[in-house]
Amino acid sequence: MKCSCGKKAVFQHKDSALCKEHFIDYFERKVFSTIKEHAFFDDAESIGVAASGGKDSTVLLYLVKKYLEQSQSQEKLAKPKKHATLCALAIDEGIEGYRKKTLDFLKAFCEQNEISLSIYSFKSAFGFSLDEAVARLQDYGPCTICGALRRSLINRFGRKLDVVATGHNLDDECQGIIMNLFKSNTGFLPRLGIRTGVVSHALFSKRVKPLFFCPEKEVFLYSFLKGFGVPFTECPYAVSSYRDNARRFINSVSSQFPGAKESIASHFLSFLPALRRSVEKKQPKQCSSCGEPSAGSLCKACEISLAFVASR
Amino acid sequence: MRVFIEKKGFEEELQFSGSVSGLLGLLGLDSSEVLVVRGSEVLLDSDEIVQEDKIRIFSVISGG
Ligand SMILES: [Zn+2]
Ligand SMILES: [Zn+2]
Repeated sequence: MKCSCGKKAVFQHKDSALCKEHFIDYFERKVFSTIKEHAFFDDAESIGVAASGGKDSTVLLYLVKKYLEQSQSQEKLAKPKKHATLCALAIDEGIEGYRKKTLDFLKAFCEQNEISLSIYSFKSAFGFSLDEAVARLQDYGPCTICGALRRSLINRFGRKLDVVATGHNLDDECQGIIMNLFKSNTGFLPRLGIRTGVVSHALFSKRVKPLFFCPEKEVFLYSFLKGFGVPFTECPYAVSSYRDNARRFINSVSSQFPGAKESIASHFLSFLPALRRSVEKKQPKQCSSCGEPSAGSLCKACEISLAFVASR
Repeated sequence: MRVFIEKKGFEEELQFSGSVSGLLGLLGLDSSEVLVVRGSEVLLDSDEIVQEDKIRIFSVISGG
C-alpha cells in the first residue's frame, strides 16, 4: 500500500495510508492541535511531564519540548509564557531489576534532549521502597500500594508547577471509561478525561493529556520511527488484569468498526462537563497527617505508610 | 521464516508465507497490539511476507 506521495505506507487507518514522513507529520499535528485547542499550556510558566522511561511519556516529553520551541517562533502555536520551563518528573518506586533500566534510559534521553529531570523515590519520601512494602503488607496488592504512593508524590511535586502533562493515550482512556462503566463505578468517571483534577482546587495539580487522541499503536510507531530506542520492559508486579480484558474487548470491537476508540473518547468528553458538575460542589477533604487531598480523614498513602510501620 | 517476538524474548522458526495479518492470526496476536517489522521496514497487515523473511514483532503495550 502506498502513501499519496508514492512512498510505501507504514501506517493505515480507515481509508488513509501514510509513509514514514507523512505519518510523523500527521502524528505531531494531532498532538500539537490537542495542546492548542484545549489551551493546555496557555499562560503556563512551568510545565512538567510525568515521565517513566516508557514509550508514551518519552514521546510526550519530546513533543512538548518541540511544541514549546515552535511556539516561541510561531505566533499561531502560542501561548505558553515566553520563557516557559519544561522539566521531567519521574518516580522511583524501588522495583528491583525493573525501574533502574527505564530510569537509566530516561536520564540519557533527557540529557540528550537537554531536559531537566527530577526523580522522586518512594524510599526517600515514605521511608520504604515498593519491594519492601509488598514483602510486608499482605492486605494491599502491589498496584494499590504503587498507585496510592505515586498519586500522592506526583500531586505533591506537580502542584509546584503550573501544569503537569501525562502520557495517557487513547487506549488507556477508553479502557478506563469501559472498565468503570462495566463495574458501575460511575463515581470514578469524572476523574477521567483530557484534563483532570475533578475539582479545581489549590490542593490538586493541574493535569493534561496531550496524547488523549493518539491510539497506543500510533504512539509506539512514532517512537519506533523516531528511533528513540525505548527499552521493552515489563513490571514484575503486572498481573493479568481487568484492564487486559477491557483492552481485548475494545480492540476486537475496533477491528470491526475502525474509529470506535475515537468515538468512545469523544462521546465521553461531550458528557463529561455534566458528570463533573455533579461532583464539583463537594470540596475535597485534606489528609490529617500529610495534608494531601483525601477521601477520608487519612489518605491512602498515609494509611499504607502507617500499616508499614505497624508491620515492623 | 524466522520470527522474533519481543514479548516472548525468543526467535521461532515457522513455515509461513502470506499476508502479515495471516501470520498474526497464526500466532494469535492482535494487530492493534503489535508492530510487525522486516529489517527496518514497518509492515502493514496487508503486506505480503515470504518464507525467507526475518520478521520482528514488537508489543506496543507499555509494560504489558
Ligand atoms: Zn507520504
Ligand atoms: Zn496523607
